[in-house]
Amino acid sequence: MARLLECRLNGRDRADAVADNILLLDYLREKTGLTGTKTGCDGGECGACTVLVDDKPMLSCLTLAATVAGKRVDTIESLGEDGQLSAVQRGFHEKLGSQCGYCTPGFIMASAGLLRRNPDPSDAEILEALGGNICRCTGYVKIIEAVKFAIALGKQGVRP
Amino acid sequence: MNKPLPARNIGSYVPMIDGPEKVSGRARYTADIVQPGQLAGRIYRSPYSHAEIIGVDVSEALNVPGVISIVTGDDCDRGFGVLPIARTEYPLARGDVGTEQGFAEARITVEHGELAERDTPRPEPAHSLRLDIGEDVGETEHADAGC
Repeated sequence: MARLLECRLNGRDRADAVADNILLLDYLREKTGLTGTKTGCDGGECGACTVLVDDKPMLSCLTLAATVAGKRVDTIESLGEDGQLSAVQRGFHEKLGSQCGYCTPGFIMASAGLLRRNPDPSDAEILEALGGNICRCTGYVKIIEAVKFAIALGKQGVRP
Repeated sequence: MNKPLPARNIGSYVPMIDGPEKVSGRARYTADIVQPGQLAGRIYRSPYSHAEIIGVDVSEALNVPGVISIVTGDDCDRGFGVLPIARTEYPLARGDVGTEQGFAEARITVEHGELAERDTPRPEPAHSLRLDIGEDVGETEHADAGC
């Protein structure tokens, strides 16, 4: 069966006819064409599909699209303004937090979710917030540096 | 020995040439690319966790609109497989080997339009496949399972 899904996606209200059982990940990648959110493990273990639902990091591969009705959904494509990268995006770019880049959108959304609710987290809080994201390339050191760089940018007023 | 010349780039900071694309989600990976007229594959899984495949009848499925081709284990020289985890990871099994949970009988290639509208109910080509199976062997030892 199908339903009309209404949500505020990346700051814009939209309504789409979707199957009842479509996953949020598939809704984003196939229905709305936003392929920035990645299909990694397809089973909730890697975090590549992380998006923000009402500013809370969620695994979109384990979320039914129907559950975001009436909510705000932010994907990687929503970050940055006026052509400028956001603080976390700049961190991953300038501090080499990406190599192949496939895990990067998920890490960035998880980090942005953390900094939206806590602009000055401790090291332990950073590790806990990113515990659901895995990276095969970098070894994580540059990722943590990227997040700390974003925290410093945040203190200068750059949004996560 | 010659004095080493100063290096211009070694040790200096070089920004990632594709950094902005990767951190903004604009970087395109294989799964992100959709070309007009591209074909897509669907995997039909065994509904039985262990059984002997006697035959797979694909004649009716081939006539479903949008189906381009169907590959079964009979078309392969030997079976192969990976541990299926993602929705797109299913190995093909030979027709004469007992299947395990997740082993596929057939790969169906369809026009991409069929998959692009995955959320719209449509006649499923897989429903037209007929699978004949023998008596369930029910092996309990991995060595005897023949997989």
